[in-house]
Amino acid sequence: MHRPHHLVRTRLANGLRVLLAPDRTVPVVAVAVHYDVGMRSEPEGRTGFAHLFEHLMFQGSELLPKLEHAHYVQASGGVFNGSTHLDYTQYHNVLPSNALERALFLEADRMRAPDLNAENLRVQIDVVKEEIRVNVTNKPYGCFPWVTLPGVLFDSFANSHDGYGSFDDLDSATVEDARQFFDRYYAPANALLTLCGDFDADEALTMVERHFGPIPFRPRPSRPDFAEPEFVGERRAVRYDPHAPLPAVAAGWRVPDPVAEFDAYLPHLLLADVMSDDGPACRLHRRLVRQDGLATSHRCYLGMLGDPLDTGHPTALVSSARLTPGASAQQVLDAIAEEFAVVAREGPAERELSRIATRLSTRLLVETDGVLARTQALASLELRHGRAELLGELPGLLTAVTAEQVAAAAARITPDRRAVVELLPASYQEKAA
Amino acid sequence: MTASVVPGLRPWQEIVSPDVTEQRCANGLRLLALHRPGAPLTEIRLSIPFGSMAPGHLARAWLLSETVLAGTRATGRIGLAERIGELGASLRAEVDHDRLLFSGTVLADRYEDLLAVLAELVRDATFPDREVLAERKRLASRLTAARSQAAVRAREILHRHLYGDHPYGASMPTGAEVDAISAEQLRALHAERVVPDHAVLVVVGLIDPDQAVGAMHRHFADWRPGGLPVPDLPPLPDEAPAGASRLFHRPGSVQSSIRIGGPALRRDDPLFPALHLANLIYGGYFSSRLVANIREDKGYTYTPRSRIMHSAAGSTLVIEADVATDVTAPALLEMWYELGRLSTLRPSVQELRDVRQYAAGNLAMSIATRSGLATTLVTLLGVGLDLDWIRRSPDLLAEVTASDIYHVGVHLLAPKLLAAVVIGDATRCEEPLQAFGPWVVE
Repeated sequence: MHRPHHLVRTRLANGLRVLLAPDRTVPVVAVAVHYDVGMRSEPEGRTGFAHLFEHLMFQGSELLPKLEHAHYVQASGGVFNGSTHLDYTQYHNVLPSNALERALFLEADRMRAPDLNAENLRVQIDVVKEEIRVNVTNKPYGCFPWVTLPGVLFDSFANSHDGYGSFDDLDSATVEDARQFFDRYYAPANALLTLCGDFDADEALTMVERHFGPIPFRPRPSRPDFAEPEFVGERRAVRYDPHAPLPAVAAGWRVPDPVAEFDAYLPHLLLADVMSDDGPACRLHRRLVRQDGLATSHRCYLGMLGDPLDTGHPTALVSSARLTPGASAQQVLDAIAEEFAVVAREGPAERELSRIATRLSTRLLVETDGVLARTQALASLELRHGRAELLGELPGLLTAVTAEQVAAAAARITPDRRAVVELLPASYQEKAA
Repeated sequence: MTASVVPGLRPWQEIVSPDVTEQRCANGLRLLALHRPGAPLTEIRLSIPFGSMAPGHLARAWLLSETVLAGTRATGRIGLAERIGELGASLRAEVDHDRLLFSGTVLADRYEDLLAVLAELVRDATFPDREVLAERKRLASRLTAARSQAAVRAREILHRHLYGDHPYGASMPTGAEVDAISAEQLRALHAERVVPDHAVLVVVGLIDPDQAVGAMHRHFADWRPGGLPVPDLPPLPDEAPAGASRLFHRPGSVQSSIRIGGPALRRDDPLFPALHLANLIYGGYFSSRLVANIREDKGYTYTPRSRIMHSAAGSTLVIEADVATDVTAPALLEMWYELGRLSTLRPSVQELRDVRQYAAGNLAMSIATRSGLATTLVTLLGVGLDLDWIRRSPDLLAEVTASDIYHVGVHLLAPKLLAAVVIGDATRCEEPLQAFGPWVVE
């Protein structure tokens, strides 16, 4: 079930890294640009800026008026989007393969000179606020727990702030902020261009050189060390949600460095699925749903955004649950703690672990079957780990993880190392007052 | 700037859809297999017609889909999950007003094992009392949680408003309906409706199609037919409801969810290609008029969009925007304005060319993944079409003229032909909304 990827790498004179993964089985091509900057790097007083800046990158560039990027991609029969993560920001286009060169032109033009102006900034601040309302404030359990848990689990501004941003910070963003952010972080040398799909590698490299080659070199910013010292003792916080009908609870634990300590990190990926995958055979379903009736649903995942392989250090293992009427957060936390303790003591059964590893491997194949998803996975691994080849190697690496390694990972998921956020319906706040 | 700096397109590649190997079992079940290269995976879809006019059917159908994997005569719930997991597979059941759909993904060399699990489920699911009781409780709380979401409420209220007493008028069951269901009722529903007579089984992936059809035949040929005709749902109302619009009060809502809807055309209607393109021009993609207006020019909303939803009983146009409460009425004004423009003026040559190309490219991409191909195929088969519809579509889209768009605009998109609902904080948005006529506040 190994799927090898034929990869070609190069680096242009201006520092732009280029990764090609030709695959001629479908008449589609994906073009992605990953900039090595995310929410962790936004300045204090400018929460939400990395994401706001992503919106500004769609507002036109030197040779393209506003809306023209979308127009040219879509009029080629393609789709496009962008997304902002803790450690990177990505822009992608997926098109019928006859439009490859057009996509390269569009990405190169905005890498060279996006049109950053006050009018577009004002409109996009409003659009971003509506995005936050639709995904967070107006939605029950909106983005729970990633908006709130980092603030309890971490201390530094970089790691603890809400990457969607406060409305005050968004409102005070200026065009000058945007220019500085662009100059510093959007240098070609801080970016990775990835092409995947139906093209000839040599021909594609010629096009890449033609469009991206002329962009002047700027130095690559050094990547800060975001590591934090361990904390001692449990941390707790409560948040109220005006639309949630029932309480929810989430706990996070710090885990080893996903890149520098990859071998110690990987067993946590299996541990998360041993506790909670999408089926009724996993441990938290058996315990929280079937045996104790404490939760209607639960999740356990690695990476603040459930993005185990493209996050940098520090990150977390997160376990969350939505409660049944009458259940308390403490009961759920205690039950989760007991389940981790069982795995720490006895390890997962061999058959259980082999099932989990097989399912994880299949899921990886399924999730990277589409050209876009494969492009993004290859790019993330190349950017963070310097090795896109990991995508093909992961099934083997996952299968090689032992029950002892999973038990050792579970042994550190203890109540005294956890950060907890309880989400309560707003009506509870009125009762408490 | 001149358009000439932007690289042109190379010649367009024809959409090549793979050959389908097909057979029908004596019990009525259609078997289809497609070879698709790529990752060593296989997708399985089993679609069974499931519409009904019976009161309470929707709730029973939902709970059946939640519990059909909860045990068979041979295996309990956890045993089933373990068997599926050991194949590296996933298997789930979902239901809507028209069909029960099983979707599975499995490593290519193990697909026959997953077919065996599926064959066991459709024949021997037992709906154990204890499992049904537990899932009933879970489903009821999940329904409550779902209804606390503005988007879910908005869909529910729009469907009730558009479809009235038609079964589609209820987009999801109530907790009370779910609570009243017994395991015995699920067993009866399973015996009556989970039958092969009009069902379709599709396998797509790294397989040999002839072998796959043989394997499907081995596992499903002795599935006992039900022998009853499939009940046809009555067609959807051919007009949107006249009279007052609906404003649903959601206290403390910081946004208003605006929904506009009305009758649309089926995929095989001769005018459908024109409506498809008109919808794209209006709000069906990012480069549409609605996005340019209320998002990129005014910043009222994050994701405005319009789309055509196809169901067995008919198709519906749905336009959506979640906007800041203060701009509820101004946003609705622009949504009506763009509809009015499309139903009184012809689109430009450029606009028409763009949406044609986008529509054709999107069709090609919808079948570019294995799971997309499997889902698209089973969906088309469910409404009497097949992959040939995709093959023919680019030509049909190419023939659409600006006058055709104007024609469907006048007859389907004119503001007077559509109905609106708003879910938001009525204390803050009701008064300005009165400018559009009467509103019933709930």
